[in-house]
Amino acid sequence: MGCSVPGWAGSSPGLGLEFTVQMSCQGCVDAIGASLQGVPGLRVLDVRLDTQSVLLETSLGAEQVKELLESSGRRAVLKGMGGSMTQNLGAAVAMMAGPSLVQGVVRFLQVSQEKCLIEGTIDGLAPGPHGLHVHEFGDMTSSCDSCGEHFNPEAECHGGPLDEHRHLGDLGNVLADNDGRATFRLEDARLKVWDIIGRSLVVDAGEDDLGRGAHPLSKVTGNSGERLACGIIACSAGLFENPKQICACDGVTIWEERDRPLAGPGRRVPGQPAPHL
Amino acid sequence: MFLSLCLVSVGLFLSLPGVVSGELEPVPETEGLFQELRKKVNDLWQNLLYPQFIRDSDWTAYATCEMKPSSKLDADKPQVTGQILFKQSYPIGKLEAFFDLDGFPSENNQLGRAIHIHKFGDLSDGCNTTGGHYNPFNVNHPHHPGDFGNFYSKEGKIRKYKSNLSATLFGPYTIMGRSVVIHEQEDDMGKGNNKASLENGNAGRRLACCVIGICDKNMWENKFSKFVERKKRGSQNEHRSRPN
Ligand SMILES: [Cu+2]
Ligand SMILES: [Zn+2]
Ligand SMILES: [Zn+2]
Ligand SMILES: [Zn+2]
Repeated sequence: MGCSVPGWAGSSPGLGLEFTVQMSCQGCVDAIGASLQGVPGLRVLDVRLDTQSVLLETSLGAEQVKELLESSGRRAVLKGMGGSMTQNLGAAVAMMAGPSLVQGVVRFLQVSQEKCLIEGTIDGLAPGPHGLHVHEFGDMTSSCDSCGEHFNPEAECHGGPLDEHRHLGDLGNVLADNDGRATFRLEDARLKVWDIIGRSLVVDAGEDDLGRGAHPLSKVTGNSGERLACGIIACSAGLFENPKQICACDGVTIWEERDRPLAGPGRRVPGQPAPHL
Repeated sequence: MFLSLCLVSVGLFLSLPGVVSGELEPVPETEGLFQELRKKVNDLWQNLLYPQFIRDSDWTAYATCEMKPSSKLDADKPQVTGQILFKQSYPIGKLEAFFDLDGFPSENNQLGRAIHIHKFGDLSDGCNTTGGHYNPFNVNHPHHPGDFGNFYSKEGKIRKYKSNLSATLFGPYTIMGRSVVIHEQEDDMGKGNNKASLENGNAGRRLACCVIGICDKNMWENKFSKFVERKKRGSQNEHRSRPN
């Protein structure tokens, strides 16, 4: 349904990521190969100069890999992600922002009927645990306040992700390190990507007590405090589902969009080489 | 709505500590199990037949899209902001939409600007990562379900109500979680005599975009009642200004 993920026949249950990386010569290809060589939890499967694509399998997060790729001085954009199953399931992304300086990117991947992978990086948090929940509405008109309550189609009380009685949207806590960054990879057996597309993901100021606290809000929200950042859970591309490296609306590549943002006359200067970074 | 249900069950539980700690009678136990099973089967059917977000709101789906300038856009380009609201009743209603957009140059005789639904709601690289036009049936532009055509600004604003749209909020081809993109230029509606014309209408740069998200009916009802009022006032003024 919806944002489908064409299958990817990887051998291990890692995350398959397909990046478009700015590279213009064989030297770049080799340099990328070398820069990712020996990174634990990451295996490069294919680097292609003609399509400027890098395909890899990893147990790291997509944002971490993007940072690794960009640390070599080349821009990278995630083009698609997939699991190792060969079914058409679903992929989604939430760009987290809000009233505070907290921001991040969280990606969802339906790996099988019983497994939704949620991986992301959120920055600007106070060190320590923070409640993370799927909320019922994907409505940011009043920032995170218009996202509604925790997504709860089964009329349950608030709980932890492993509890039988929980809101479907209860994902527990993510842990921010001393730099205020939370990097996480969660698996949820109950959440399905197709049920949460168009809803929102919210990260809270405090720890979610998983419904076990004495506070009256414990059974309602886990008493995890105010909403710091939120993002609509949006359809994203599965592996190889985004075959064009160009932005389909006007025929310019994404690098030209980013580096030579010209419109009208002179827009399509033929043969102008992409900057070699 | 569900919140209150949940609190009720907590309340019941708390108010019956004696019964719970005492010996459990077997009859209500099996009855409870049976009811639970029946509820589960019922829920499964309901979920198959009707997606959650419709049941939450009187068999009508509502969606919103908060337009923001592309993070990859130059500062000298129009910085378009605003809101698009959608409504559709289940199962045979047609999609309706309000387009409220601001930030266009205020000079008059502006060219039209294209608005489309794009395949992905991924804004991780601004509007560039939204993919091409949402094209589930593999047809040419301008026959994609989200080809809304050209919009004309007046005093820097677009205010437009459209009904009978062919995109849908329901089923396998839902636009929920996808994006709406407004382009800098006019949509040639497939008449440009080139390949791009049949793919995207040669509408140029992506000025702004947004993700289509689920919302409740409040914003639509507000907007709609104002719209009806304005229409009424408009037609009354017309009557008054007409010479008798
Ligand atoms: Cu478009
Ligand atoms: Zn929350
Ligand atoms: Zn909850
Ligand atoms: Zn189109």
